[in-house]
Amino acid sequence: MTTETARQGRTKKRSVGADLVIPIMAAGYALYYIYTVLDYPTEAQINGLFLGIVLCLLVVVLLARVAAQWFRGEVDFGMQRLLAPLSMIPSRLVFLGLTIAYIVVIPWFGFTLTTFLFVLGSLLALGVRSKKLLVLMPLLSAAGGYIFFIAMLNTRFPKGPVEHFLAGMF
Amino acid sequence: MELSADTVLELFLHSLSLWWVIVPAIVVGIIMGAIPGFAAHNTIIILLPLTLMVPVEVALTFMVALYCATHLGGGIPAILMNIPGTGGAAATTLDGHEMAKQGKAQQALVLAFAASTLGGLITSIVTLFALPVLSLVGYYVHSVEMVVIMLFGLTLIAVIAAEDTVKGLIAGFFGLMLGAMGADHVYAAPRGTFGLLELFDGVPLIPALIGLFAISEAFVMIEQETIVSSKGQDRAQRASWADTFEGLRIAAANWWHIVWTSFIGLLVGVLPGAGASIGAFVAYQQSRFFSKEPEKYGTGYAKGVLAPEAANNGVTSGTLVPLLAIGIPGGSTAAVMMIVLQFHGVPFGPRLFVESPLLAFGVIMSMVVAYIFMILTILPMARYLAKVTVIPTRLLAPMIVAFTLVGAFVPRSFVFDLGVAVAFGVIGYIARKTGYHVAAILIGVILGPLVEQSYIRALRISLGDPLVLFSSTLGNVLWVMLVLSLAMPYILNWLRRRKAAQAAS
Repeated sequence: MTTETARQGRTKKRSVGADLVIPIMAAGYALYYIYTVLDYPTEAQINGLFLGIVLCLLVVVLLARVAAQWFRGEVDFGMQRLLAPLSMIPSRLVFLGLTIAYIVVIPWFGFTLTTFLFVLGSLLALGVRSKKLLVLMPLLSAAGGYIFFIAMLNTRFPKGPVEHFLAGMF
Repeated sequence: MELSADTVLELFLHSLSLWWVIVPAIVVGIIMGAIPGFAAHNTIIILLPLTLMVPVEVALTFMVALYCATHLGGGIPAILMNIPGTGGAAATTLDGHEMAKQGKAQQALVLAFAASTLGGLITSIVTLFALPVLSLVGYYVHSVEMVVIMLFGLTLIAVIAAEDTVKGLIAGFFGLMLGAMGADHVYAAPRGTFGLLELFDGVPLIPALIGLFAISEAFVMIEQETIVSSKGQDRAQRASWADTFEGLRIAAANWWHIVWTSFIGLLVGVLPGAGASIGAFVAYQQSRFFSKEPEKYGTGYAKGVLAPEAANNGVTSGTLVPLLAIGIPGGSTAAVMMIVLQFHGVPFGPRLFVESPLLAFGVIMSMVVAYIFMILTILPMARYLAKVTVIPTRLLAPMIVAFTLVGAFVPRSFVFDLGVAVAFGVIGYIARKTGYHVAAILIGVILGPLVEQSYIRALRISLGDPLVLFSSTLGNVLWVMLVLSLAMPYILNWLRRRKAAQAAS
């Protein structure tokens, strides 16, 4: 009976660890900002100091509230809210990795080829196995992007082998 | 200049004759508005050479129609994918996307289109006749009032958007803090930039918008099969004209709601710097405040779509008022229009009404005509656009990331900005999953530099006395409203609990 009650108590607890990520990030940035303006003239300091102090006070209020809830046994510091669903963590990480890779390689590969590779890689990472989709979607997005953004709007995207080849052709 | 019936008719017919400019501008505007990052001003900048080659009235008509259409287009991805195409559509996500998740995307789109066009049409007509009076609003709003207005707007967003007020305020002030990043306006001293030169001008707004809304949404999106919940699948699959007519019926039944929320947009638009984001959120908050069913807001409630969409199109005519009347652009698009006017040697401000009155009123009239064309163009598209919500998210997410990153690159052409978008994407993802609404962060980022400018100006005028913030009557009224809006959720909760306790006893 006691074990059952304890288990029920555990399951009833809300996980609030993830809720603290943004406040900690915000307070960290506020303190860093204040540190960077310490030696500046008052006019350059005043806005940051005002905002930083209010932000830190708000974070303290939130932390105090969470501490009170923790003392009452209502919450724990689990990160489930952020990480769930756990089965999707690998897909999310690969997708994020591909997004970062997109930015890293675009200066060399150019917009069109990078978009093609990014869409293809992401579709594979997210479990798409249809050959038709794997060919058509990257091709259409790269070609559509090239026609609309580069050929029509003349947007100054990084140029790569595809752009140079097409520029030579037309 | 007095506007006689003949002049109005003449202006209307003249604007109508420019349909060949208006229709392409609407199409381009809707497409650009729907792509996060391609707001009206950078689209106009891309097309600036074209606008400089044609006569000034044609150029202005094109820009005005494109401007109005982008505000309408911004609501499309906000509803379908929870990604506002423009900052002004951020408030539309609250109820619009909820409707889409329930399989009512088509109806939500029709509500947005109807509210946008009707709201824009009404405010344009009002602006046409009340331009001299409206222009006076700007004279009563100084730096002190601007600080309070911006903090008030941020507070409203914090209270509306987040799960609880403290979390909302943390998100808002975090945004303000990020917005204060960059070189100081007076001494050019870099603050909070991590030593990165690319951040000396502050956080680039478009990459921040794209990261917070689009990238983070793509990451949340891949955790489910489709945008529509399993319950709404059937309804979303059989989207038909009946849903369009149902949306129109709801919009018609709420015509008064559209009218007064569009007026909120108009008034906010007149204030230089306030913009569509604040206008839409203020209208949403007011709509909820005066509603008999406030608990329905945020759950896919029709009035929650009508209010922000009517307001953000009301802002479009409002932002032109300070430009036309006193020569101060009310927003970035108005600033680009000012450049075109300057290029053509047209005087702006009060002299515009003396030297080229027909051009000044013609700009507003072309807005009226653009909205009339818009309702005819966009309504039939709703049922086809709604189908986006049934596309599997594993196909949508990569496309969203690829094409919105493009938008992050456009304004400054820095690859660095793509990194900013991803960094904000991570912040947005954490915020979404933990109940800190991304809209509050974004509005903070937008307002950060504006608050600083007004605050420093007010302090300079008062020789450094911070009490200057409480020195004006209008400012003090706004402070009281700010405190009331913060206290209201607690007061309402207390009243509700008391009522429940009384009923139980």
